[in-house]
Amino acid sequence: MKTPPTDPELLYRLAGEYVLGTMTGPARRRFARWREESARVDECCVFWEERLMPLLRELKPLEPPAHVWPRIEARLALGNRAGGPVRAARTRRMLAVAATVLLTVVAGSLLYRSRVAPLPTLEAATVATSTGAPIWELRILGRAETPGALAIQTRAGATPPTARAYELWALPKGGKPVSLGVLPAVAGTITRTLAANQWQALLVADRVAVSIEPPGGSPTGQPTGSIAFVSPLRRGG
Amino acid sequence: MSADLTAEDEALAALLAGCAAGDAYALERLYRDVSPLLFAALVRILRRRSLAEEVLQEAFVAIWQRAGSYERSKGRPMAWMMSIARYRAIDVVRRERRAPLLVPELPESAADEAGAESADALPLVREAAFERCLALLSPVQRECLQLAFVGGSSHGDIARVTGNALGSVKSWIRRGLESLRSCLRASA
Repeated sequence: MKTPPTDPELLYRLAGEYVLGTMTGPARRRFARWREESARVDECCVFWEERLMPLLRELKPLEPPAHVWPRIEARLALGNRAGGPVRAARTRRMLAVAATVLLTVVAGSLLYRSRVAPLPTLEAATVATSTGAPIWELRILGRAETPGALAIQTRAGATPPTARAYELWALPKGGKPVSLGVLPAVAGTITRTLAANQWQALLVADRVAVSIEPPGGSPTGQPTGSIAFVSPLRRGG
Repeated sequence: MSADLTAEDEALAALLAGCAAGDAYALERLYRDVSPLLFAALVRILRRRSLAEEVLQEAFVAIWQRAGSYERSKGRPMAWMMSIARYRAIDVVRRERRAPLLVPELPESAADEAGAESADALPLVREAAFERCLALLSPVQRECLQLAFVGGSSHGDIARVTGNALGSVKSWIRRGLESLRSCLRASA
């Protein structure tokens, strides 16, 4: 069966098996694809997803361990975000408090070290409009094998299309793009710590690209929207 | 298509809209509100807390990234988020072939370890129509649907756990779904 069945009752039953999880293997993958492509299939899945929820009431809520949330924050680099348009004042206060605590704790070590030996700029790129006006100045900071940081200076003209975000990608030679996160839309400079996979990708990348994505970034981990800019990485500052 | 959003649904939908706009605090609130429900479901399906923690992380990363695509037609916010978490867990279970063999109690030690377990059942809406339709199923059909949806069990797992033939399990689930569907449609 290459396309979803036309018989609605059959489609509802297949959707039920998909939602229950009893549809497996290639059939499951195919059904997931149908769902993405067809509003009719999606509707049948939503029907069961909503209707079967009461079956879960036998479960008792279970508080996840305290270390889970910080890991989610770290993975999404929420602490480094440039500040969404509607970020609550409370978040800013919490971040300010956290920053103060962090500064106090690390002042003796990290801060001192970074003053003594600031991370050198390994590579840099300028993402510019077609007329050559720079929008983002990117600097990759670090030393050899240890994951470093990405400094992003945002200039004017960084506003993405309505309800979209600009996402930055490293383009490793012969490899898949690796996300470097959503780019700030407001002018200013931020520095983002890079994860090991981002660092490895940058070490073998010769270009960066900027794609247009849903708010918060690509849902798939690969660019889903059109590529707005591609810029070469150059050695040193 | 389905019942109106409750006040709780509206609040969750507002938090999802906040996530879509890049509000990190909205995600934190959402995590506080719904992670105990998602985590309970994940521990039940995955049976291993470390794995459930990993999938919970992935689920919230996905919720943050996909919040912009949430709309009313995608279902109630809780069902939408639960589906993101459940499908990931089911993929992991099937891939690792570590499907739960013995069901359905939650490991006591796991619950103790977690500490703050609430004594209340999940605050899910009791839908009269669903209850009525569920009651029309045979006990064995109900049990099969329960094991699959709540426990993430495959046809084969359910056959082993309940000591029934695979063919019987498949047809109970198929007929259970068909009966539920026609009953729910009639009462919509």
